Amino acid sequence: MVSLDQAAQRSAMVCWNTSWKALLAILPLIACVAANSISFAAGVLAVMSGVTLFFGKTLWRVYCRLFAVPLVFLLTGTAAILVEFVSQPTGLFFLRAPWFCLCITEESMQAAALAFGKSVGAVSCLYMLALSTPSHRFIAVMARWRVPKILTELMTLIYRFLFILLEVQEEMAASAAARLGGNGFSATARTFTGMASTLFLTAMARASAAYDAMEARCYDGELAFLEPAETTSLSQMAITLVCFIFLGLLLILVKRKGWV
Amino acid sequence: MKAVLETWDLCYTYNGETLALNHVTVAFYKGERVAVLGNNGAGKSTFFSMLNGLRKPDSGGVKYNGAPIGYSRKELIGLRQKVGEVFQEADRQIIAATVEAEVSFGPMNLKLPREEAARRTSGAIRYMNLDGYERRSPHCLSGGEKKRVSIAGVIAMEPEILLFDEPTASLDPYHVAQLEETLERMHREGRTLVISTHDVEFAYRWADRVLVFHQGRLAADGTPEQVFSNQELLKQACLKQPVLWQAAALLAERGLLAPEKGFPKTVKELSRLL
Repeated sequence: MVSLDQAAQRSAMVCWNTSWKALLAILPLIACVAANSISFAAGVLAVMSGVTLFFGKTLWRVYCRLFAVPLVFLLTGTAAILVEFVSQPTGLFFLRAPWFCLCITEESMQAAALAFGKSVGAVSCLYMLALSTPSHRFIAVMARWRVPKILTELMTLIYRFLFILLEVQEEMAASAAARLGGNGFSATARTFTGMASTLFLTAMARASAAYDAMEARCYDGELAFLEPAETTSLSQMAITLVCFIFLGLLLILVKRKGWV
Repeated sequence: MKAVLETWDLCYTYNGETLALNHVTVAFYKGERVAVLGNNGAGKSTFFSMLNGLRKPDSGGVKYNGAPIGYSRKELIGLRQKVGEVFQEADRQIIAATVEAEVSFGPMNLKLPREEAARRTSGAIRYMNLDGYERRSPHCLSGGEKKRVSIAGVIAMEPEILLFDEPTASLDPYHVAQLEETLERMHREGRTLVISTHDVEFAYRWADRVLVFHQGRLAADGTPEQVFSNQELLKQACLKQPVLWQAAALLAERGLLAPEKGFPKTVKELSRLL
């Protein structure tokens, strides 16, 4: 989470208008999921990755490392679609087991490939947004889009306090390691449960202290911060429109030609 | 001289068991620099939480400009506008995602027009030498920078009285010196400054007046010279004499320093007296 946040702060697109970036991420995401086409999903992946790497100037090493995380989940998830349980051996590949068979059919391969492709395309949209937009800016946009305040305020506080808890957890882990807290399974388990329970108590204590500090500055139940005004340059608009036009044409082509 | 903030017979008990404050009566005057000393658990932080209405005393009370403070929402907001508190740990105070948002939190809570909130925010940022830090995330800042952000967040509300709860804790000497410069600037502007600290050296050289808390009671209220010359008090409250005081006392004992000229508060003063 720390790398994602740092990458977003360093992005060359950080000053772009957040609402436009959100539209650039959300509309292709919806189209990618609705189009049901691997070709279109590949196009979305290419466009979003291009925007992130070329315009956002995110390092490709950072991008690949961060992308690997959801990729692992996607692979394990689509594996469940790929492999079917049947009573009789069938399909392109199969594995006999007592009382049942595991098999891979052409249909399951197509379904898995489609699910994987659409998911990767959707993830690339979200990463474009996440790697170019610090969370607080996106939360401010959500507030402007009339998302309930309870959600946006919770997100603001969670965003801030996650870093504090991560810091506390790192310190605890270092202290535990210095006292051989990872020496064997039982020690590791004891360290883990101790840290988890202490973190919970620490969070409660910090919440109380933070509330006092907020009250001391006249907090009246609503989190209000000054957000800098965002401008939209012609180049931002042009890039966004070009991406929409390209993806729009690609979608028409895919549907007309019947591409998978 | 009329007190700007005062307490009378303040008592407070945590959970009906732990007596944190025991009949504390004290007054603060405009432009004063007051250091509050005492061991951990002496009641300093609890006392501070009474001064800006964060906690309501079990008995006794607090007055602002001669009038007892009320505990309605509106009255507390009015009080906290005038009495700002900077907490010991900046991480417990900072809640926003950027420095600018954090500093603007107070002015925005006061429902000021956006332009006024922006003016106060940028003014406080400049005041604490945080220009260029506006878009930075607080979790990427050093301890000293976070402390400056937390002070700026309170300065932006333009309080008359500032309470600092152990501001020098976890600061390196460079940042302590920077903090002292900031305090000097605030003092020249006529703000009343009340600082709780374990640092007797700092209290001795900086404060006009020293309060000593011990087991919830106000054990002493006097000038630094009066407090630090009282061996019995220091022993009871488990406090040490400042090193410079001890050195000056030794030199006076050996006739190398004239005690009637007063004890020096800095090395420079000592050098001048010698």
